[in-house]
Amino acid sequence: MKNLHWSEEELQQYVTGEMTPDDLQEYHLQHCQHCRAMVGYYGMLFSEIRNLPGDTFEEDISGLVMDRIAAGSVSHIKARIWEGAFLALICVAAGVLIWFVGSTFASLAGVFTSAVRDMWLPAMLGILAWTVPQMYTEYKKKLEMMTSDAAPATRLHHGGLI
Amino acid sequence: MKQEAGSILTDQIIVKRVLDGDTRAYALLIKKTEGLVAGIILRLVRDKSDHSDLAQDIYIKVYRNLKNFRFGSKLSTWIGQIAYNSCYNYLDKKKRDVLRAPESFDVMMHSPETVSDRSESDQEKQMIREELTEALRLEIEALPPLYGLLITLYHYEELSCAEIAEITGMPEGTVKSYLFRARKMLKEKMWVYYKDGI
Repeated sequence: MKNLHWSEEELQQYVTGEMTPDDLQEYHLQHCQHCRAMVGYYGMLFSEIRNLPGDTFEEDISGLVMDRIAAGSVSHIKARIWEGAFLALICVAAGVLIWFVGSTFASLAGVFTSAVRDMWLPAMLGILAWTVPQMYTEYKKKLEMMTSDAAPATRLHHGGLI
Repeated sequence: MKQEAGSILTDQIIVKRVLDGDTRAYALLIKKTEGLVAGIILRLVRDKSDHSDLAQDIYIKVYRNLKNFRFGSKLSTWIGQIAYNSCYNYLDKKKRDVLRAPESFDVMMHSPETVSDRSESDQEKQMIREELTEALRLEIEALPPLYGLLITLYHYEELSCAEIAEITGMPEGTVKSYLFRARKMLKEKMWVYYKDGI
């Protein structure tokens, strides 16, 4: 009987349901107090693990993450606003340059220059009228969403964790 | 798995809602998978002060990469994979001693009073049970980090060996082999508490 004791692997696999014992093993289990005790012990151990209190964080991770995402979105919107302002500045500078060239070299630039000079202000106003409301709407939408409520890295060698 | 972020259908709905800008859906996703992520971080990273930052970084990474998730696995498995890799990168970066057992465990082991010394009134039975639970928790924490993690993922989170293999990037056979050794080690460590009860 002693030589037929179940191995550790068999005991574990039996308790986790990964092994079905053959007749000989079944017979041994029925008549061997040691193996039955081991099966019972493993069963109790696994059941105790299942009933352990769950792992939790001390902080409200969900809240902290949502705050960080919201902060990231706001900074993204701010960046968009700065981009828009920079674009507007370039347009103004270009307009001033055209106006300067037009007034200084009017005789050389002729009709084309004066047409451009007359067009730059309406064009600038048009661009601003198009972009500013859009940015504002997006900003409001995101802000509303954020305040309403509360890739995998490269696989690494794991040997160091044992 | 205990936390059913489980079905692919549910995963798809949640991912779609998050990608559409529904932040409440993402908060829900965090709540659903927090236990798994906590299990991975708490088993692998001993320094409690870093747990919160690490968890936040993991969920920010998940948020940024969610658009790349192709439903090749369960969403929770994918998040577990990110959590595992993030922990490993963190440990690799900090070069922490991951084999160090927590102090509380040493105190527990040197306590002169054992569970079997107690009398068995109902109140004391409850106390014994609580102590056993605490002892088991500490013994799992005291296992080598990867062993503790495998025990948690398989027996507590009820993941399959295939899912654990996906999370850790180890071959399934290696997961089974390590899991066998981890159980054996835990069995031997817990024997001192249970032997008189069997």
